[in-house]
Amino acid sequence: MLFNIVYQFGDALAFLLLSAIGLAVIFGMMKIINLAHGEFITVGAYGTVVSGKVFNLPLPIAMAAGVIITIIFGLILEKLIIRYLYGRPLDSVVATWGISLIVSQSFLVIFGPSYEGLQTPLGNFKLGDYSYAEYRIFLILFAFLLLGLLYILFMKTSFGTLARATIEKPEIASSMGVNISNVYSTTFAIGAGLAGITGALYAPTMTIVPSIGQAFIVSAFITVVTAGASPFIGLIPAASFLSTVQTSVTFFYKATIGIIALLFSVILIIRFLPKGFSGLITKQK
Amino acid sequence: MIKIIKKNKLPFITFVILSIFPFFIDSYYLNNISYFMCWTFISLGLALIWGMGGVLSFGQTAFFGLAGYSFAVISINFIGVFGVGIWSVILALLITTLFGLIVGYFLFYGGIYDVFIGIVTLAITLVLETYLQQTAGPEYAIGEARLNGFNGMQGMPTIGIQDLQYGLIEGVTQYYFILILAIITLIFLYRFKNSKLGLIFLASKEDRNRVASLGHNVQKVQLIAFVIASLLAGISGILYTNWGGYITPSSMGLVAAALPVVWVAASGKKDFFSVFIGTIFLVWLSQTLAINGAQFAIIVMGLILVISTRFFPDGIILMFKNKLIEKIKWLQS
Amino acid sequence: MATILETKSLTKKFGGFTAVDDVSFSVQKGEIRFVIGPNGAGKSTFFKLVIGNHEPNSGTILFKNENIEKLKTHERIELGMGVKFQAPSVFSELTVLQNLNLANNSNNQSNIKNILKDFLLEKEINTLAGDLSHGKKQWLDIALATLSKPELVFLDEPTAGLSFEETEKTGEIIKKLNKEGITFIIVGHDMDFVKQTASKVSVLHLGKIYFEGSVSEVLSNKGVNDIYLGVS
Repeated sequence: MLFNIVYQFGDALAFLLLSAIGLAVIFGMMKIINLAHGEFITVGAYGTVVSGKVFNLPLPIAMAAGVIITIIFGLILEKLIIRYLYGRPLDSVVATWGISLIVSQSFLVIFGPSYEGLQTPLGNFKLGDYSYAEYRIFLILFAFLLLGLLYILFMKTSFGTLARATIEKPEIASSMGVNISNVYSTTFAIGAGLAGITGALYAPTMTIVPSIGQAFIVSAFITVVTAGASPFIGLIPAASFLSTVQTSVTFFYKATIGIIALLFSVILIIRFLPKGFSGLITKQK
Repeated sequence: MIKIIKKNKLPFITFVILSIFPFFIDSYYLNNISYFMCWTFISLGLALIWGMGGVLSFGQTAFFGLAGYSFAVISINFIGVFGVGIWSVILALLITTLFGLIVGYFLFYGGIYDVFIGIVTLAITLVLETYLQQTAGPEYAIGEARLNGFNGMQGMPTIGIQDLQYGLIEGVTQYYFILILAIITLIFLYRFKNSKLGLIFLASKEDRNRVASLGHNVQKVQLIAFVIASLLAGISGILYTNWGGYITPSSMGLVAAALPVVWVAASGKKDFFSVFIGTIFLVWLSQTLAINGAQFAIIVMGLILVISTRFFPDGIILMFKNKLIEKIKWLQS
Repeated sequence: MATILETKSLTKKFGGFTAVDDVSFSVQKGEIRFVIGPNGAGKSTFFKLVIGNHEPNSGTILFKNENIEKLKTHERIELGMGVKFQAPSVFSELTVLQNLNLANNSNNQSNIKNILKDFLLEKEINTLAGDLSHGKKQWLDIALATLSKPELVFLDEPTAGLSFEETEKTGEIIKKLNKEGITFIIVGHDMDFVKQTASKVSVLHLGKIYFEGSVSEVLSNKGVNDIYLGVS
């Protein structure tokens, strides 16, 4: 029974972390409100499933293909639209919302209301009365691994320092010879790629529908906002808090009420903890 | 009054033309125009808070839906009662405005600004949609009125005065009712924009602190504007519910919430008349496109949003309006 | 002479840093008091405390002998204050006239006519404030602070970026408004401007009041010269 609860919690936690991670880079670091983030995940999922089925690729290769497709998609968007919106936060919300409408409905038109999915890899194991999917445990571990890698990339490498400095003070960076446009594109591409990874990872576990992205976008935003200004400090506490809320409310009522609880949480966090969990943690120091 | 007309010749002519439509336009098309005009109020409200005051709310649909549902619940419970076609509307609007007051207070007195207003208001409309979507069972009823989950509510009486010729808001009466309401709204917004309150709200978009340092209660003014916008959104909700005879949770969902933003952004959020015309045009456009499939219409709406934000941040309709006034000197004030 | 503004042991800390340290300060009605001091002395923070942009950690603020610590900024302004912040903050997307209408607390347009004359902005009445030259922006900003003839006006660096003639003209306008009944508290760096305009000077250093006196007393004080040179 205990394991059941831990499993549910971990599952929700992984979902929130993986939903949020790409958005954390784009919103948390670049302050671009990307309402199309859910669609990036959709592209990653469809990219994986379609390339897997059409070219008969083994799952890991199909996933890689899905991620690459998402990165390309992200780069195109950045070059055509996003780069004109830096420094215009309200406009970037509006434009990315438009993009999400276009992409989600286009997928509906092209692929129809649902697409035959893939099998969940790995097997199940039993504990007590319940059977658990090994893959979902893998997802939990992978989420932490990914977060750790990102932390190292952005905090410990010279690229990471360069990226963070450029985003914070673009004029200074550019006067020091940095090609800021490249830095922005690369960081955006990383954010898109991460969303692609999320889509690819979850593709074998879900029914592939065009609105797959919608399920992720709400969770992603809630998590990123709750995490606050420093995504790397705040993401795990934020996701833990939210998955606790969601798991317990779902346990006592039902899934839709769990989502409502999450929405309420973000409203309260914005009101009472505007700097999110990372603000809370840095204040303690 | 004459002064207002002199400064707004193009709107005046437009409304004169619109008011003689019923004399030569088929009732089918007239009803369609009524439908398009239903949506102008929620747009105008958003133009007020976003275009003037920089407050981008993604959740105007929350007030739209709340008004529609409140009207449905109240009127269904009191069908046949004297005057229900009027006081159920008034009550519904009161409920909606009260909710607008609460949300606005929470936002502005709670120090929530900029992008976070969008997130909080979006969360609110999604909470309402998510909740109402799962109210399918018979236990989800308020009095006699079942909420009906994602199928939504039907069977509400027509608004207006029963037993009076032309008293019910349908057909030609509906057309004139909505048109007159729109004219009153535009005149009100015009006067608000030119008032001291309007100036304070306008300035608060740029620098809230400086406005406060000139002795003005910024939060109060923002709250007033927000409540007006919630009322307008509610008016759209009731007119829509009355026009079609139904209200569903999807009217408060993610796609629905995006639409007023599309209409206002593409029309020109700083000009109320452009938003009025633009909303009518864009609703007509999406209806026409939807014949080829609802997805297609939404894709075009998304494209319009992206293109107008990227290339025409001042609004496409406003751009045309300005060009027209430039060309026809007589239209200038 | 009535005390129009008084602070008692006013203190403001930011984390471990004390920006304003136990400052007891008082200004009489009719003064043109200058607050000077090297960078980082706490002058702007002090202003923000009195205006209500920051909350003090301790101490009291009395305006016309009433405690105002609990009041919000706009309420303090309504009591009879005006303020111009350090960075020019006019509303660039509004016209000069709209800016002034915003600051006008009466329906009377004569206030505006007079101030346009005083600040030489008559020709720019319909110009967008963002299109004004830096000097005129500063003047518009000062005009906004003084338009409704508040009893006490705070000006933070009103002559920053102004030419010699513009600075002199600013001093004249301030002295004229002072004769019409406005008490001024001004943060300034330009010693010529201080000499031209001040009735009394307070020197702030490391968040404390270091010295107060007439212009000549302050200028001849060795300690004051030292702190500006960074010697002490």
